[in-house]
Parts: sequence; C-alpha cells; structure tokens
Amino acid sequence: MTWKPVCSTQDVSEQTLKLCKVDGIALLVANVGDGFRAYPPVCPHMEEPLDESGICADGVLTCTKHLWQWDMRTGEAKGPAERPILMYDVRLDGDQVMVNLEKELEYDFDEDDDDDDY
Amino acid sequence: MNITISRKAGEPLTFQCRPHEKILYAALQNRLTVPYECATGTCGSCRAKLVSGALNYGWRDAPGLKALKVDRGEFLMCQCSALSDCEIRIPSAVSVSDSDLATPDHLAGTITDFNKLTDDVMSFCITLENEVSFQAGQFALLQLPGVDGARAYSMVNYAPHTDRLEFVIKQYKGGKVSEWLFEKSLSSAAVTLFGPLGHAVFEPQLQRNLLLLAGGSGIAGMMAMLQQADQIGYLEKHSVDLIFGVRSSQDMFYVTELKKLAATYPDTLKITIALSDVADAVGSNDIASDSAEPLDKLKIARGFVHEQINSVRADTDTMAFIAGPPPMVDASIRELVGSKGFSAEQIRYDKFA
Ligand SMILES: Cc1cc2nc3c(=O)[nH]c(=O)nc-3n(C[C@H](O)[C@H](O)[C@H](O)COP(=O)(O)OP(=O)(O)OC[C@H]3O[C@@H](n4cnc5c(N)ncnc54)[C@H](O)[C@@H]3O)c2cc1C
Ligand code: FES
Ligand code: FES
Repeated sequence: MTWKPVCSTQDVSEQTLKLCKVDGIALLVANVGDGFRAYPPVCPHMEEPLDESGICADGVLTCTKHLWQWDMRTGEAKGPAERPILMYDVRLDGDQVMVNLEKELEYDFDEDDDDDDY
Repeated sequence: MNITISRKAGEPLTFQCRPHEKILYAALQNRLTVPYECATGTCGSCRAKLVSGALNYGWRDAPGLKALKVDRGEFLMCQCSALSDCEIRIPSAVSVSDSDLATPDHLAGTITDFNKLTDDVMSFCITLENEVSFQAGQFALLQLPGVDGARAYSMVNYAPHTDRLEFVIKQYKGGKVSEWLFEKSLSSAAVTLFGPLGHAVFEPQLQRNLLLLAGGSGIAGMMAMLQQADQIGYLEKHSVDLIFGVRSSQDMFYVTELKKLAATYPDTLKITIALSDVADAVGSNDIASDSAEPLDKLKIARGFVHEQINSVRADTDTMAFIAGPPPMVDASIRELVGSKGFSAEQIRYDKFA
C-alpha cells in the first residue's frame, strides 16, 4: 500500500470534482457528500479530460461529451456508458484525503488482446 | 469487398462494401448499429480498429483522428474505404438494427430555391430523383462536385415521404461548401446526398414534452420537429419550449414561421429568441422596433441559449433536443444535467462540427 495525501477535504465541495497531481500521477477527486472517491482523470469512452467534461449531480457523474454516466460511489456504468469508471482506494486521515497510489489506474484503450475496449 | 466485424459477444458480422464506399456508409446501409455522430471526420465517434486487410484512409487531417491511435491500427469508419477484404473491431456492441428509422442510401438530386435569410444564412432545397422517408431531426451528407469530403446538413422540412429536402446553411469564411453555395447560388446544380442519418430524432409515439435548444443553424432540425408536431396535432397535448440563439436581431430568421406557430398554440408553445451579442441585445421586446417585423408572441432574451434554461418548463417527462456549435451543445448539456436534473435518456443532440 502506498497511501498518499492528495488534497484536503475542504478543497472539494459537495458534488464536485477536483483534478489533483501526486508524484506525477493525475487523478480526479470527487466529493459524493458522505465520502470521497478518486478516479483516473480521463473518460473511459474517448479519453476526454473529465475535469472539464465531467459534471456531478445526485451522485451521478456525467461526461458531457457523449453522455456516458457512472454511479459516483461504485463507479458502475449507467445509461449509455459501456464501461465502468476505475476507482482508487480512498481513506480520510483527519481532513486529508488519502489515496492508495500503489499503481496508476489506466484504461486499456488499444492493447491488441484488450477485451474490454473492443 | 467483405468487411467482417469481430465481436466479443456473438458471431462475427460480415457485410459487403463496394470499392470507394466509406465503411460507415456500407455498415449503415446494412442496418448495423455501428457508432457515429458527425459522419464527417470531426468527432471520432466512429473509430474502429483494423485487424487485417488494407484501407484507403481518405482525409488524413481529419480532426476526429486526434483521439485515435493510428499507429495501432485505429481508423475512422466515416473516412476510410476498403482496398481488400478487411476484418475490423469496434469498441461497442454492434448488432442488426430493428429500429423504425429508414435505411440510409445514396440519393441524387438537384439544388434549387436559394433564399438568403440573413447576411450569412441561406436556405436551399434539393429535389431528389426518388422519394425518401426520414424522421424530423435527421440529417443528410451533401457531396458537392469538386469539393473533397461530404458535409452534414439537417432537414428543415418534414413529410412522411418526400422528394424535396429543405436545408439552412450558415456561411463560414473559408468554408468550402458554405462559400460554394453562397458564391455560386446555382439553381440546378446536380449533387449527391447520403442519408437519412442521425439519432436525435423526434418520436411522437413517446408522448414527451419537448425542450428544443438551437444555436444558429441548429434551428434546422427543430423546424422539422415543429412542422411535424403541427401536422399531427402534437402541440394540442404537449408543451414545447424552443430557445433559439443567434447573435443579434439582424441575425434572426424563420421569424414569420415561428410567430405563426406561437400564435396557433399560445398555451403549449413558448418560443424565446436569445441574443448573445450584449451590445445589441435590448433584453426585451423593444427589440421589435429594430427588426423588420413585429415579434408578437416571440419572447426576446439576452445571453446565450444555455443561460435561458433555468426559465424553461421541464420535468422528468421532458425530452431535450440540442443542436448547434459544439460549445453551445456542451454548455446546454452541462446545464440540463447539472441544474435541471436531466438524465442521459432525456437528451438528444447534434454537434454541428
Ligand atoms: C450532424 C450535423 C448536422 C449539421 N447540420 C447543419 C445545418 O443544418 N446547417 C449548417 O449550416 N451546418 C450544419 N452542420 C455543419 C456543416 O456540416 C459544415 O461543417 C459547415 O457547413 C461548414 O462546412 P464548410 O465546407 O463551409 O467548411 P469547411 O471548413 O470547408 O469544412 C468543414 C467540415 O467539412 C469536412 N471536411 C473538410 N475538409 C474535408 C476533406 N478534405 N475531406 C473530408 N471532409 C472534409 C469536415 O467535417 C469539416 O469539419 C452540421 C454538422 C453536423 C455534424
Ligand atoms: S468522451 Fe466521455 S462520453 Fe465520450
Ligand atoms: S462519425 Fe466519424 S468522425 Fe464523427
């Protein structure tokens, strides 16, 4: 486990996203109201930067580019989305949001034997 | 040539593709549910991956290639044709469509009836050799003689079957097709089309209230929806809010048609024209004195289309249609999802890029 502080709980207001960078890894921290989540910063559809294209409402994250949606708490795909959103392990240490950055989470967009995307 | 789509779930799908035919066009003629949005090389939605075979890549500078890994065999189906039998993969589930939408095809016709609506907006018609069916909100790809690549234009008129398609086009400085049409305005040029295309269609059987958001020439498909709604009595039972964004009062068009509709359905149809050019916008119907004709029931507002969304009638039963420049569509989606609580199912859009 490689827990790293990424931001303070005050940095991310409820139902919003914040782009953070730790040790060269970019991630998106979300405040879902009763907790925090952290995702890779790109949309699993076409790699749009979710800090710009993403919008949160009622616990649902929507990418405004083509309306893919996910449950912010579980990462599960909703509506037209065909893939879930990946999530880092998150815990709170006082008002620090801590993320387990053991391994950078990435979507396999193009591996030859990638069964997820194609 | 045979194109085979290998699938994660299910048997491979194979279809015929003639030489020079774009792979997207051939797949759609075979009623396959392959993904696409613009069909003209800009959005990247039609990406696929070549497993075996050879392609003619067509437009090498297509903006839609930006998000693709070309060195790993990714390509745009709307730009590429096959040079041999090909096996391809597509990053979403593909099946044979069972929808009611007409199967698109190549159409031949003649451009007629150019009509200048404002300084930089014009309408024109294409008279086809054969009748077609399409849904209000759909578009067709226009191929002009001597211009590389097709351009998408949404039908302004609606009829269950027709040999006459009406379009509206905005002039872009340096834009090949729009300048061609504005400069030549040739009555009787022979052209080809491919269509009908597009998913942002009005489906009266869903019995939804409508929210129509149009930026500039994005009004095209909305006019078709209003025309159909008027023809079938839809506006007697359903509320429709239209917000039509243009720069200034000089840039308004279809005012006569919209006024007539608004007067016919005073209780159900609410039309707002949003003027984004603040220097010009009076922010009230005083603007009527500026425009060539009185605006009657049309409401004039100041600002962008998405800035008017908070004042529209909308609930979980409303279906929103958005068409226009991509930033206008993105801002409107953001507002609908973020402030109005719309779900993805309630939003249909066309980005005019
Ligand atoms: C779904 C949809 C519906 C649309 N509906 C309308 C409408 O109703 N009214 C309207 O005014 N506009 C509409 N547009 C925009 C329209 O399609 C054109 O982009 C616009 O008219 C500018 O075309 P142009 O030739 O003047 O500009 P250009 O800058 O010459 O061309 C713009 C577009 O043409 C294509 N293109 C350019 N060069 C090539 C090439 N070498 N090979 C292949 N393709 C090329 C690309 O798609 C490019 O984005 C729509 C767009 C879309 C995606
Ligand atoms: S890029 Fe996010 S939904 Fe398509
Ligand atoms: S559908 Fe091919 S790039 Fe948009």
